[in-house]
Amino acid sequence: MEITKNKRGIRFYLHIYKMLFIQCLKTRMSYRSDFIISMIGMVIMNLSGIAGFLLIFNNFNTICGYNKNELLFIFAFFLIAITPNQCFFDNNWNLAFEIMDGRFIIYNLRPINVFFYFMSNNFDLKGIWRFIIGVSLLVYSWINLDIGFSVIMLLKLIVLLIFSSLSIIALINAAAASGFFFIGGHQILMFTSSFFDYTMYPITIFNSFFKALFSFIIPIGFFGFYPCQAILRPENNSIMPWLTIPLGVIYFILSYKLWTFGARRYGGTGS
Amino acid sequence: MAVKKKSRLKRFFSLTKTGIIRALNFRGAFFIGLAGQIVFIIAIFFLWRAIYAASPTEVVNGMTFKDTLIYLVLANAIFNMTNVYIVYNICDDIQSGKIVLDLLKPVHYFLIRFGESCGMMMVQFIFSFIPSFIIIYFLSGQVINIGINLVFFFIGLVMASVINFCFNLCFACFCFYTESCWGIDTLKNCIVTLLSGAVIPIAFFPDWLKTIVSFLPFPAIFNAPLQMLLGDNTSFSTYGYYLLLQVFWMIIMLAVSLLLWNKSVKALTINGG
Repeated sequence: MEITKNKRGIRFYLHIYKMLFIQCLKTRMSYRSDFIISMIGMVIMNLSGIAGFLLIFNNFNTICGYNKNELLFIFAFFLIAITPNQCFFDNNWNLAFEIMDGRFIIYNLRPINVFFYFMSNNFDLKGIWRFIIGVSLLVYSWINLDIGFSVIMLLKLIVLLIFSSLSIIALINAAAASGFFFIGGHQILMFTSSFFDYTMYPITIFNSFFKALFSFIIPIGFFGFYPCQAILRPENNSIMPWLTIPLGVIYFILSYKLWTFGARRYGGTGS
Repeated sequence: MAVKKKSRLKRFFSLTKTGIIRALNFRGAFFIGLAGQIVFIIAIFFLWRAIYAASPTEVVNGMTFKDTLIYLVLANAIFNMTNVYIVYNICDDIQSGKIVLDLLKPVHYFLIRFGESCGMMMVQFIFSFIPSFIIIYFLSGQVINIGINLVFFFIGLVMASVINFCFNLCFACFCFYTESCWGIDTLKNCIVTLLSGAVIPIAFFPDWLKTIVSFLPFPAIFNAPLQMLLGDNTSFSTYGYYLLLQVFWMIIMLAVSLLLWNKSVKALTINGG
C-alpha cells in the first residue's frame, strides 16, 4: 500500500501562515476604530517611554558613564529587537485564557506543529510601530553619537538584533508557558513583561547579585545593553555582546521545549 | 427618611463587598502585583543611586536621592492601588453588551462601579500599598514621619481615589464611540504614569510641563497626598490647601465625567444590536 507522505516542509508551513495571517488581518480591519486607536496607543506607549527618559536627562547628564544618546541607542535597539516577539508571538498573551476556557485543546487536535499553529493565529500589526519608532530613534541617536558609520557596524547590529530578539521571545514563551502549569499564567506573563521597562538602563547600575540575575536568569541585559556594547564600547573588546548569539539560541530552544511540553501535557478542561 | 438613607449606605457597602470578593478571588494576582512593585523598587533604587552618584550635586531640584526614591515608590504605589482596571472592565462590558444590565439597575452606574472599585482598592491597599510603604520606609532609613500626617495622607488617598475614578470614567466614555479596550486603557495609563510623577518626580519636569500639569487633575491625585505625607513640619494651612485642591478637582471631575457619561450612554451601540 502506498502511503502518501505529507510533506511538512517550509512551503507548507508558509502557506498555512499566510492564510491565518490574512484571516487575522481581515478580522482586525473590520474593527476600524479599534484598529486605529490601538495603533495610536502603541505609538503613545513607546513615545512616553522615550519621554520619561528625556525628562531624566533634562536634569542629569550621565548614568553610569552612559550619556543620553547612548541610552537612547540602547532603547532603540530594544524596540527593534522586541518587534518580532510583539508581531509574531503575540498570541502568548491569549494563552492563559485559552487554557482556562479549554479552547486550547483544538490546537492539540490538528496535525500540525502546535506551537506554530498557536502563534500564527495572531499577528499584532501595531507592533510595527515599535519597529518604526525604534529605527527612527536608532538613526537619530546614531547620528548624534558621532561614532561614524560602517557596513560592518550595521551587520554586527543586525546579527545581534536577531539573536537578541530570540532571547526576548524565549522569555515571553517561558512566562506564557507557565499557564500550562499554574493558574495565574496571565499574571506571571504580565509580571515578566514588566521587566521590559528596565531594559534601557545600563546593567552596571546593579550590584553583582542583580547584575547576574538580570544578565542570565531574566536576561534583560541581553535585550539591549550587552549587544550594544559592540557598537558603543568597541574598545573594550568584551565578549558580552557576542554571548547574545549562543544565549539567544539556547534560551529559545529551552523555552520552546518548555512550551511544547506544557502543550502536550494539556488534557483540556475535561469535556 | 432615616430608613431610606440607611438602605442606600447598605447598598453601597454590599457593592464594596462584591469588589473585595472579586479581588480576593484573584489572590495570586495581588501577590504578583506586589512582586512587580518590589522589582520596580529594586530597579529604581539602583537607577537613581547611579544617577545621583554621577551628579555633581547631592540635591537636584530640591530633592535628594532619598526624597526621589520615596516619592517615586509611593507615587507608583498610589497608581497601582487606584488602577483597578476601571476603564478596561467598563470597555469590556460595553463590548460584551453586559453594560445594559448594569445601566438598567436602580442605582446609578457610577455608584455601582465605584462601590466595586472601592472594594478592589481596599484589597490593593492592604496587599500592595502597605507592603510597599513598609519596604520604602525601612529602605530609606525610616525618614518618613509617623504622626498626624498619616491621617491627612489617608484622607488625601480617599479623595484621590474618587478623583481618579472620575478621570478613568471620562476615558471609559470613549469606549462607547470606539470599540477599543486596550488602546484607550493604554493611552490613559501612559499619560497618567508620565504626568503623575510616578516615572520621574514633578520637581524634575521642565517649567512648561509643570504649568500644563497644574491644569490637570494629577497633582491632586498623586502629589497632594504625597506632599501631605512627606512634608516636614507641615502646618494645618498646608494640609488645608491640599485638601481644598482635592475637593476642587473632585467637584470638577465629577461634573465632567457625569456630563460625558450621560452624553455617551445616549450614543450607545452594542455588538449585535
